[in-house]
Amino acid sequence: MAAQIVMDHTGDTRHEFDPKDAAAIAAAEARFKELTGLGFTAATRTGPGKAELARSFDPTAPETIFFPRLQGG
Amino acid sequence: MADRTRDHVLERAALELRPQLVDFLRACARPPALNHVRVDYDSRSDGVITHLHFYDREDWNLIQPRRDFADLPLPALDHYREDIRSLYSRLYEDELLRRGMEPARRQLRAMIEGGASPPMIESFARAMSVREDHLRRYHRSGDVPLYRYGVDPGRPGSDRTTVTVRARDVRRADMIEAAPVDAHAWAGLAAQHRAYMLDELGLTFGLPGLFSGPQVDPKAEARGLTLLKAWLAPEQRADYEKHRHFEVTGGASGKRYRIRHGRQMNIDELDAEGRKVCGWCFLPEGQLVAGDVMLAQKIALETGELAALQVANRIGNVPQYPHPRPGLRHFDEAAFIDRATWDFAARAISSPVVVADWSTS
Repeated sequence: MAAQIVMDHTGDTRHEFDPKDAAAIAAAEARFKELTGLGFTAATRTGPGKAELARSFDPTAPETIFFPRLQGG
Repeated sequence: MADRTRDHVLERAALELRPQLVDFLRACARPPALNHVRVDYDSRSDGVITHLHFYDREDWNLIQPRRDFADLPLPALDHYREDIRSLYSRLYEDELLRRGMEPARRQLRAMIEGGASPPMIESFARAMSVREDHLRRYHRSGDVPLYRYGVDPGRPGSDRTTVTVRARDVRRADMIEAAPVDAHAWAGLAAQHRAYMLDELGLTFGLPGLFSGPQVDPKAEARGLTLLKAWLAPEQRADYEKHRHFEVTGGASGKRYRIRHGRQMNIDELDAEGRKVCGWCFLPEGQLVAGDVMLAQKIALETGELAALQVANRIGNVPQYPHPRPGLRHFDEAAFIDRATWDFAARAISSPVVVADWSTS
């Protein structure tokens, strides 16, 4: 199972999907586009402690994390 | 917390807490410059305090005979607790920031009167407006009923509620916003002081968080930390578990950053020897828990450093300022909340509080 992890006030919300299920992939891609369209940043884990920004949906990524737009604090 | 236990503690607090709060206020709840407090209370409604005003001068010609906090009528405890919280906020997160903005306003007026070019005036005014909005959004809101005691209706920009903090030239911002940045640092320090001291107060009565306001959902907090640890490298995780901070390397510059546990003002840029160069403050929008914020900061610095720093506020860059800046120096000393910070706060207080009382009857 792959997971899309969306940071929110509850800590995070996880959306798991089967990367072999075409319908699930379509839903995950739609979620990816929706979130990034809202300004969320997407990143995938590439190794222990390593991440890279995800500019486009990658159905093979085991974990993709989304965090809201950054602002000065 | 069982209601019965809480009621017991509050009852005990009503009897025992007040003298401690008086000392507490005298010792901690006041920056050095603000020595005078005017307390307005409504004698027709059980002495509930209605206004607190703070002054930094002694020539207040309407000052009333001195009174002590202990002499004030004891309002309902809930009111009193709100007063305490508002006292902190009013002192630190409102008054100091307002004072910090005044030099910038004076400079703007001087530019206008001196015939500076309209684009320059507009640029300065825009930068100042962004800063004001930022200060109001991040340092004058939250769980504290700041404006129960009224606001300054003449404060420029007070009617704006949102603003996009745009990317800007950090060096130029440092130049034109030195005073607000100083105030920002003070506010951050004060907010940390406040949280720390209120926690201490709660611990005095055996109930952590009693005076600290609404608490973060512990489940959300735990989820955030679990997620953070899962995404940290092993050495980062070890550092975090041991020291509550970890280091990351900027993806573009190769610079070292230390991310301390927290949500704001928790990023230190380090030099090659691990000494703090300055602080950076950015975080994701929304009310995210600390673990989420730290993870977003890590990913942003490692994979999109320049974009993150474009929106970030830079804090405490002491060497670039032309004159000594004690506020920032102290802020750097107190970068971590520990006993030394507490001691620093105590040392900062040098003269007794003078309290005057204006009844509104």
